[in-house]
Amino acid sequence: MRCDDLRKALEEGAPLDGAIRGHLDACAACGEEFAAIRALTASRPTAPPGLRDRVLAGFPARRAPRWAGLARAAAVLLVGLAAGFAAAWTVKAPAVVERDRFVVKEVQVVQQAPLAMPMTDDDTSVLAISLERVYGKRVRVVFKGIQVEKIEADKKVMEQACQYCPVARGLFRLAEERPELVTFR
Amino acid sequence: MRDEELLQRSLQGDPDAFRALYDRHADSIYGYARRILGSETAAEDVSQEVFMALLRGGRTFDGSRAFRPWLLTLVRNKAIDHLRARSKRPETKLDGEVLDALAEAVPDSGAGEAVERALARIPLAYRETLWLCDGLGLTYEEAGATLGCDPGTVGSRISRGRQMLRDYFSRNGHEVR
Repeated sequence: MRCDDLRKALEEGAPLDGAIRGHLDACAACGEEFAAIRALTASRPTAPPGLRDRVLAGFPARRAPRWAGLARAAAVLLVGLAAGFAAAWTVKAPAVVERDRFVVKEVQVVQQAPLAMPMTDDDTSVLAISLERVYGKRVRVVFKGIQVEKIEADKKVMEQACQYCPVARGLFRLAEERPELVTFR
Repeated sequence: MRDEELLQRSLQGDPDAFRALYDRHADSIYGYARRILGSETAAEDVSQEVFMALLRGGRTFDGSRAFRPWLLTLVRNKAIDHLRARSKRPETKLDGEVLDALAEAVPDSGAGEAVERALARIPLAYRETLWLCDGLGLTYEEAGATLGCDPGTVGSRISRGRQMLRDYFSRNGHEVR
């Protein structure tokens, strides 16, 4: 690139590509004439180190949705129960009988175990109860005895909830595995 | 990993993804805010607000758009909110002159001080376009998406802004160096 070409390119507003930058660096006359542009390209401010700490400190303080705590507990329970089924029922299934005591008691035993099995009827019952407890009227569950006969759910709400909530993701998993049970509205 | 994925993971509570997002964009966010505001302290505040806004409102990001212009638009809006608050006249329309008057402060940036002084004396529309393209390396399309104008307007602002910058340097360069 010649000096005239460089001048014309800069005056016409051409992007600062490699050829222009190279010429500005290599040619003393142009480098002097367009010192401001050279300085502009070289003087990029960097964020001060303290800012990183301030910003990252704000991350865990982010407020979770009000039902997130319950959803987490229910999710842990689901994982625990499913893992329990995999380990030949080391976890009992009291949840269906006594819903009010459907809390985290047994989970601690098995929560490290993997979840890799298809959902059984008992898994489905536990999931349904969790959905009722977490999402209230947004999910309607019909039981027949202790078995789930039907689950109706607000699809938009559940899709949004999937970003946070493993229980909601469990519903979509159930819908894939047993579509006859799940209806979205 | 793409920016969009890092944002999604951050929203799902992954601190490593958020950290990576910070490390990738903090300089651009801070630098752009500082160009508009002319103050290191204000730029830090706005940068922090931008990252918190990402966590609060990141779901509004439309995946069909380019991430960086979207992010820089967020910076711009936050910085202008900051200027409005600083002006103590929230009803005032912030045209270029008002913004320029507010952004007169010249940050102490060591080797870049001369260009900072020159930039502080050209209108905001030209200054931020120069900064986005010549300083930050955005394409004219990206800068146009950030500023809400077409790439042709970006090109003409670049041309005019370079001329103003050059004129200022030729008149005052010896004084500020």
